[in-house]
Amino acid sequence: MARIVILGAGVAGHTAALHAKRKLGADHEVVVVSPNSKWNWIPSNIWVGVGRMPAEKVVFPLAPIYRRKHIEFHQALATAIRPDGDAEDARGAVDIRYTDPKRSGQTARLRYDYLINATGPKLRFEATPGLGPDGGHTASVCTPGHAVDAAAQLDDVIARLRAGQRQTVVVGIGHGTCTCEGAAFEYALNVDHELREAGVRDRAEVVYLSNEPELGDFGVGGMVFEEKGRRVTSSEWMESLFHERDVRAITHAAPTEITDRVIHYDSVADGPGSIEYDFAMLLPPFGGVGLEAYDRDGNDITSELFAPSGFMLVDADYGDKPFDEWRAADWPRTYRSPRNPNIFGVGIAFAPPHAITRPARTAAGVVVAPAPPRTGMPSGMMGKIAAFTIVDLIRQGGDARPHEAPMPELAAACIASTGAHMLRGSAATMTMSPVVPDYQRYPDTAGRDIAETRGEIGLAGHWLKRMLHTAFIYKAKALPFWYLIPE
Amino acid sequence: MSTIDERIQAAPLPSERERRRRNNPIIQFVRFVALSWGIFRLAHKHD
Repeated sequence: MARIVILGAGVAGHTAALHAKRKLGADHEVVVVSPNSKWNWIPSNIWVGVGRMPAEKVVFPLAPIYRRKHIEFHQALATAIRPDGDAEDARGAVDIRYTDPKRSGQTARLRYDYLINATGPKLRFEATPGLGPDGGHTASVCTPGHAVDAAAQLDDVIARLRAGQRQTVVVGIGHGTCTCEGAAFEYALNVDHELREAGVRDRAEVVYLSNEPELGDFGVGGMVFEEKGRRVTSSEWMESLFHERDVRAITHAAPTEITDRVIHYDSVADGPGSIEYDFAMLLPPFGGVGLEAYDRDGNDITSELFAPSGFMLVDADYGDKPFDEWRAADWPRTYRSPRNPNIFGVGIAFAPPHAITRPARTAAGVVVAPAPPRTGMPSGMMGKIAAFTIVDLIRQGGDARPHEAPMPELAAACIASTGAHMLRGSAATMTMSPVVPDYQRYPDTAGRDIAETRGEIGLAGHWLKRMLHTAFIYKAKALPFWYLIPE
Repeated sequence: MSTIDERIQAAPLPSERERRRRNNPIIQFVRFVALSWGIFRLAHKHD
């Protein structure tokens, strides 16, 4: 009997656990370790963050699902990996510390034959002084709790606007190295929509603050769409969207310090600046969760398994080369650790080989470098293929060919949907294929397949996002035929 | 006004016809089916 331990129960980890158990049945053990007791459909946190959806609609408890599927669940934080085992057992092991209230603080060592690291990000609010809801001055929508707080703050802004005051709302990123600009963009559109619905938009200024060199970059180098027979860049598309909604923008900038009234930032083109705000939702930069690694003798081998950022090294080309020389082929295909092929790093947990958007610095040396996104559809696919590879290794032995899900071949969809009403909502829907541009394969269309890279605005995307919310929660609850719903 | 704000102000606004198209339930239902199928196909490409 083989034992698969999965660290993390987000999109990648939960997907991997369900697929592994579905394929392996009772013959092998699947174990999930997650510090959270609940699963969260993060894309819908945006709606929670504007008060359009209660937090309970985007979460559900994991334990009953895992009990029903005969998956062992430990509500605990993984602290260290011991890929070579220890003095007692040569099998790999993971050290965990329980966060489950019944065993809080207790520790354990779990043995594994295969390990999937899907720990997701550490939210590094501390990277910018004054950033974040806990001890800082800004809101976030990264967790359901953060989103509930953001909605309450937005309500206060609307109340002050109704009382005749002017208000400035800043939405965007809280550090020069942030990723997930798409989520900030979606929240900005939702704030605009809520202010219009409340009839107070004319007294509010909405500002989008981003590290992207231009609007529509999204940390993936931007896109080119074909619209009515002509090529449109995602930057032109976004500028038009912002013009229509009267949203201002500050781009290619990094917040450096945030007080209770002012966001100080440094910009690549214009140098230092500041903006006064009444409410700000700024996303934090992501880092690895701080897992350590030790060999059989207890020597620290963290640098052999993890990049300095804390993300896991996998089968990518991490060679130190200039930005202009990177290729799509540098990106991982199987997400296996080169040191220990029975360990996989998937979703946000794997270390990207390089930035997709050209990194820059301000005159003062502040880094402005959007990090590559690796969430959503690609994240689910990585979890699934890691599970499938392990299933084949168990059944066929070490010669089994690994499954692949390279980001320069995977597609992704981003839907920025606003409003709750079925006929008054709207959405900006973007699909891109591939996620990581392949400039050799698609030299004339910004590295992407123009037939599968599209931008569209309208009610249809709004309905689609609502459908995806229902479908993915159904799938994550492992209800009948869940596996027919694609990642 | 910054360069980016100038570009935003200079960006084209949708025509009245385009606005109606974005909110027309019948047209948008057709787009919903097309978008859903497109995303389903993209997701299945690597299954």
